[in-house]
Amino acid sequence: MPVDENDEFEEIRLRPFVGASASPPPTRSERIATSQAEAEDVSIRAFLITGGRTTGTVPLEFESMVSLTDRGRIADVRFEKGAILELCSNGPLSVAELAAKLHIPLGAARVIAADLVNDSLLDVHRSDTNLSNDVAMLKRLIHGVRAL
Amino acid sequence: MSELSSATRTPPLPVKIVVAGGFGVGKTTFVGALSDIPPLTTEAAMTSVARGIDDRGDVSTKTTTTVAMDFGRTAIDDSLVLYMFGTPGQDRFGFMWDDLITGALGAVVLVDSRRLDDSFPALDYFESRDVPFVIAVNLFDGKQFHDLDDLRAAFNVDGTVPLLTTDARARGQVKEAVLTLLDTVLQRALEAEAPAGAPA
Repeated sequence: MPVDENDEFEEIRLRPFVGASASPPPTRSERIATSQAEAEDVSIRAFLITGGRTTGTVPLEFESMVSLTDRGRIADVRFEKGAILELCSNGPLSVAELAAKLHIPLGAARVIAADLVNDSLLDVHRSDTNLSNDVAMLKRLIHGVRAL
Repeated sequence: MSELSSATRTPPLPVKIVVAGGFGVGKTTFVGALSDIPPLTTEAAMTSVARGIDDRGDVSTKTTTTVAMDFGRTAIDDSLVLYMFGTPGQDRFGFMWDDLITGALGAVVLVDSRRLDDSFPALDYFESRDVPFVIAVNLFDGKQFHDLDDLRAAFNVDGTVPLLTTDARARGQVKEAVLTLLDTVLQRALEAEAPAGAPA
């Protein structure tokens, strides 16, 4: 376990957490699991629809955009998975939009969408570069925003 | 066929900026000013710790609160879409924030100059994570309660952090605030791209 993970945690933990607990700080992966578990706590339903899982099989961000694959277009799946495929039949959508339209927490939408990507029913558009350093993209974005 | 091809075409590349600030500061209005769609609301969980002095020893006092996050979407061109997430920052930041800033280009910290301290947690957070940000003072009814120099002193931020006034209801001014942020991000990218020691 790299030391800086703990340092980072202590840094954000210090002020709000003073005296709260003497237990050792969790590792980053535990923190992520914890935060997502807590996200799911807001709704038993959300917990059930992800089969109790709080982490997705494919890493997705809230703004990650997914679209139907050829298999996804003809797949026969039910419940939230089916609802997500249905929503995507009108074009690519972000995980956040799926959550908003299905009225489920972000964490739950992310897990289900990740499953669908894993099952090759959805495609996710990935960027291998660090967007913050992508000068060409940033210039395009600035040009685009200016033209709004 | 055209319907099918639109559903299966490559999704556009999403880029994200975060709009942070206290309750009632105008985040949703700000997000809505540039969005192609009325801002959508979704839920995220945040944890906080009750700091009451009556806490019983080591009993966990951690509580989870659900917060609404509003976001808007703006198509920039065929292959680029801008997401703006408006998120409350009046309280201590929960772990969800780490998720939210992953992949974000930067942040706009929206400030009500009558309640400056509402914005301090956001400033602390973005500074500590080295996330590029701008401070936008939302002028309610055009009223400015402090001049910008006084505000900069109060915020105690690095002199390179842009500080500007805005009106969250005015699309043009929101655009300016976002462009100011994007210029900051671009400058950073250009500096990172330039070989070390090369003249500017």
